Amino acid sequence: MIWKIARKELLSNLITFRFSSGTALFLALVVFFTLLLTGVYNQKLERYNQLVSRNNEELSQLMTYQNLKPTIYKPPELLSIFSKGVEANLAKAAQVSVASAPVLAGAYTEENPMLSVFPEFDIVLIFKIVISLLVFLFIYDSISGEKEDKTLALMLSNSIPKHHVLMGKFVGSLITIVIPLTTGFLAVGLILSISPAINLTASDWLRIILIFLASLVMVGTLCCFGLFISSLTKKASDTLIFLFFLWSIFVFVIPNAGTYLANRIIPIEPREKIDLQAENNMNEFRKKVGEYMRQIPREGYIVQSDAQEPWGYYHSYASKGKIRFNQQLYAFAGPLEAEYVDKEWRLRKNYLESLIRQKKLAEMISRISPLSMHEHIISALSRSDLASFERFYQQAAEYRRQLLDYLDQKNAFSSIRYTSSVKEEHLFYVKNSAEYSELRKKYENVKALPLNLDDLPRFQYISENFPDTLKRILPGVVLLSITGILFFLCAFAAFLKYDVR
Amino acid sequence: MLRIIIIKELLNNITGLRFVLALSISLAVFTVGGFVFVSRYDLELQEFYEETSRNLSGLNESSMNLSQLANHEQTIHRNPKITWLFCEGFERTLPNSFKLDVFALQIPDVTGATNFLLPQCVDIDWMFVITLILSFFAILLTFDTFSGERERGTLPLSLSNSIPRDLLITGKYIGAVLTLAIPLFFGMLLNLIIVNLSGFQFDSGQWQKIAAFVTVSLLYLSIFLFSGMLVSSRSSKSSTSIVISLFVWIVLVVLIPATGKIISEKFIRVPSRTEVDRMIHEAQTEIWDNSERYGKNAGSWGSNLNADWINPPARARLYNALTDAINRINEDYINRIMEQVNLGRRMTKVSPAIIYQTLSEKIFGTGVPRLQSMHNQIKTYKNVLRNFLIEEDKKDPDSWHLLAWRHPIIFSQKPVDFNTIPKFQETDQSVGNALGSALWDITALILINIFLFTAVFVSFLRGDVRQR
Repeated sequence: MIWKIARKELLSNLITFRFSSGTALFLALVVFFTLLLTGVYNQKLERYNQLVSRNNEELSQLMTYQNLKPTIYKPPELLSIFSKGVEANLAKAAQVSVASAPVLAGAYTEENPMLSVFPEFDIVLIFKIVISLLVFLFIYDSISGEKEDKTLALMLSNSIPKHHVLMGKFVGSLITIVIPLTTGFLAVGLILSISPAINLTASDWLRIILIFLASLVMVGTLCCFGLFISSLTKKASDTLIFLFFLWSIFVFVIPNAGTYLANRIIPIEPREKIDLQAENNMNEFRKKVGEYMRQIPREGYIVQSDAQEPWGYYHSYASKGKIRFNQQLYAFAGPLEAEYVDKEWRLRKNYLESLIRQKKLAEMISRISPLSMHEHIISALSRSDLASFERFYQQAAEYRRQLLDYLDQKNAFSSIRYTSSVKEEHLFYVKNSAEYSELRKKYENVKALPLNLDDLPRFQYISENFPDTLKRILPGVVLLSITGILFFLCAFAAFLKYDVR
Repeated sequence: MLRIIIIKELLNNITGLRFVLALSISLAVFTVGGFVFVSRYDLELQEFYEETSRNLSGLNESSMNLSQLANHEQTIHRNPKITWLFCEGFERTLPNSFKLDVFALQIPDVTGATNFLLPQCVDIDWMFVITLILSFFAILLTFDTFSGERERGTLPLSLSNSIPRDLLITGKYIGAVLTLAIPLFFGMLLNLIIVNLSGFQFDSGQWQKIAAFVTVSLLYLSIFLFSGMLVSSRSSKSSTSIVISLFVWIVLVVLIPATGKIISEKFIRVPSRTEVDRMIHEAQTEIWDNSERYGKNAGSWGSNLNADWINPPARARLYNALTDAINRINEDYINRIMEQVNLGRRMTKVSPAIIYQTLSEKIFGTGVPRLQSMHNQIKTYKNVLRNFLIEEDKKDPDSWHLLAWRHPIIFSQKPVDFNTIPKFQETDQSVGNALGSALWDITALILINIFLFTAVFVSFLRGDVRQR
C-alpha cells in the first residue's frame, strides 16, 4: 500500500508545472554554474602551477641560506565548487623561513577584502535555495491539500493505516525530488569528467557520491518537516505560507543569528593586541641580538658588500672582518630567531584557537537549521572547511621544522653562505676606500654561484584521506538523519490527531 | 470605484495569514535590529574614540620635531556611522583602517576584533529587511492577485461590471502597496523608537536621507509587487504563479547577487598582498640598482652631510622615488580591487536588489562608495599635511629643506604647534550630492517599475479572465 500511495504521489507530482519548471531551473543553474565554477577552478589551478614553478625557479637561484624563504601553496580544491567553505577567507600560500612561521591566524589578508560585499556562490547555495524550496513546493499540499480536495477522508475511509499514508507520501515526494537532484549530480559529474584540465581521483568520486547521499538525507529531512507542517494546517495555502516563513528562517535568520550570537557569547580580542605582543616578542629578540653584537669584535674596514640585502646583490668578494662577524652573529642569532618565531607562532596559535572556538559555536548554533547542517557536511567533503586549512598550516609548520633541521645539518647559521655568496679565498681585510675600489675593479666580472639545494626538502600538500573525512562528517550526517526521523515522528503524531474531514 | 477596489484589496490582504506573518516577522526583525544596533554602536564608537585619541597623541608627540612628524605613521580609523542602522553596507567586513605618513599611504586594512573564519554576517539593517524579507513577502502578496481570483471565479464577476481593467490593476496595486507599507512603516517606527529611547538623535540631513531611502525602498518593493502581478496575470492557477514568482525572486534577489564575486574574479585578476609586496620589492631593487640616476652618491649615506661622498639632494630624490614607487603600486592595487568590486556590482545590476543596495549605500554614504571616498579624502589629507610641513620647514634657516622618507636630518628639527597641524576629518556627502550620484540607479528603478506596470497592463488586457 505504501508503494501505491507513493506511486500516486509521484505521478501526480511529475505532471505538475512546478516539477517541470523546478527541475528545468535547477538543472539550468547547476549546469551553468558548474561550467562557470570549473572555469574559475582552472584559472586558479593555472595560477597555482605558475606560482609553484616561480618559487622553484627562485630557489634554484638562491645565493644565501639567509634568503631561504620558500613560499608554499595549497593547491586549489576542485570540489570546492560544491562548497566554498572558508576558502575565500584564508590565504592559500605561506612563506616559510627561519624568521617566519606560517600561522592560519595571519592568513587573512591575501584576497581582495572588498569582495566580502558579495555572498559566496557554490553548488550548495543552489541546493540551499532552490532544492529546499522545491521540496516544500512538492510536499506542502500532501496532507492539507488532500484534505481540501476531500480525497484524504476518502482515502482513510478504506482500511489504510495512517502511517502507510504518511510513509507513502514521504516516499513519493522524496522520489520526485530525487529526480532533479540525481540529474543535477549526473550533469556535474559529466561536466567534471569531460573537462580536459580536471583529473578526478577515486577519492574525489567517492566524495561526490557522499555529497549526493548527504544531499539526499537533507532532502529527506526537509520532506519530513514539510509533512509535519502540512499535518498541522488545514489549508494548503496556509501550509505553503508557513513553510516559506520557516524556510526564510532556516536560510537567512539562523545562520546569521549563529554568527551574531557567537560574536556576543565568545568575544575575541582585537588582532592589533596580538600583533603588539608579537612585536614585543621580536623586540626582545632584537635586543638580545643587539647585546650580543656588541660583544663580537669587528675587524678592518667594512666592505660595503650587499650580500645581506634581502633582495640580494651578491658580490664575489667581501670584507673578511664583516663576514667573520656575521658568521659569529648568525650562529647565535639564527637559532635564537627560530626560537622567538616559535614563541610568536604559539602566541598566534592561541589567538587562532579563540577564533576557532567562536566559529565552532556559530556552527553549533546554526545547526538548528537542517540546511546549515548539510552545508557543514558538504564543506568537509569538499575539503574547503576550516579543518582542511588547519591541516595546511600544520603541514606548513612541519615543513618549517624540516627546513630548520636542514639548515642545522648544513651548519648553515655559522656558515659563510648564510649571509654571503663569497668564497673563502675571496675574503679580504681592506684598510681604506681606495683598496675597496681596487678590489671592486678586480672582482667585477667574477660571478657568484647559487647554493646547491638539491637535497632541500620540498613541500607537498597532503590532503585529508577519505576515511578521516568520513569519520569527521559522520556525527553531522547522523544528526541530520535523527532530525529527519524526529520530524517524521512529529508528522506522524500530528497526522494521528489530524481531522481529515 | 478605485477607492472601493483598494479598500477591498487591503482588507482582503490584511485578514490573511501571510500578512500576519509578514507583520510579525517584520516587527520582530526591526526590533532585534534596533537592539543589536544600539548594543553594538556604543562599543564601536568607544573603540573608534580610543583609536583616534591614540593616533592624535602620537601626532602630538611627533609635533616636537618637524622631521619626526613627517615620518610619523598615522592610523586613521573609519568611524561607525549612525546611518549603519539603515544601511551598513557590509562595512564591518570591509577595510577599516588607513596607515599613512606624508610619504606613503598604505593599503587599507581590516583591523579590530573581526573573526575572519566566520561566514559573513549580514547585518540586520533596514536594507536587509527590505531587500530579502519584505521583497519575499511582496511576491507572496501578489502571486495570486489575478490567478487566485480567476480560480475562485471572482475575476469575471468583477469585470462583468463597468470597471475598466486599468482601474482594477491600479486598485490592486495600490492595495498591495498599502498592505506592504504597514509592516514596513510599523517596523521602521518601532526600530526608530528603540534607537531614539537609547539616546540617538538624527539631524535634518539624516532625516532627509531617511525620507529618500524610504521612497527608494517603496520603488524597490514595487518591482516585486509588479512581478508577482505580472506572473499572476499570465497564469491560470495560483499554484503555477507561486512557483514562477518564487523562481523570479530567487534568481533576482539571491542568485544574481551571489554571482558578483565569480564574475569579478573571472574578468579582473587582483594580485595577492604577497605579490604586491614582491612588486614593491622589485621596484625598490630597480631604484637601488640605478641609484646614480638620482645624482652622484645617491646610494651613500652618513651623518656628516658635508662629506664629499654624500649628496643630500640626490639622496632625497632617491628616497622620494622609493616612496613614489610604493605609492604607485599601492594605488594600482587599490584601484584594481575597487575596479573588481565595481565590475561585480555593475554586472549584477540586472538584479534590482543590487541596484537598491548600491543606491542605499550612496544615499547613506556607507559601504564601498564610502571606502572609495574616504580613500580619496585621505590622499588629499596626505598632500595637505605634506604642504603644511614644507611651509613650516621653509621657516627654519638651519634646515636643508629636503623632505625624504627616513632621513630626518635633512629636514627641519624645529617643533610645531600641535593645534596648527592639519587633522583628518571625514566629510559626508550632502543629500543633494548623494542623490545626484545615485541618479542612474534611481532612474533604473523607476524605469523597471514603468516597464513592469506596462507589462502587467498589457498582459492583463490580453489575458482571458475566465478560469481555464
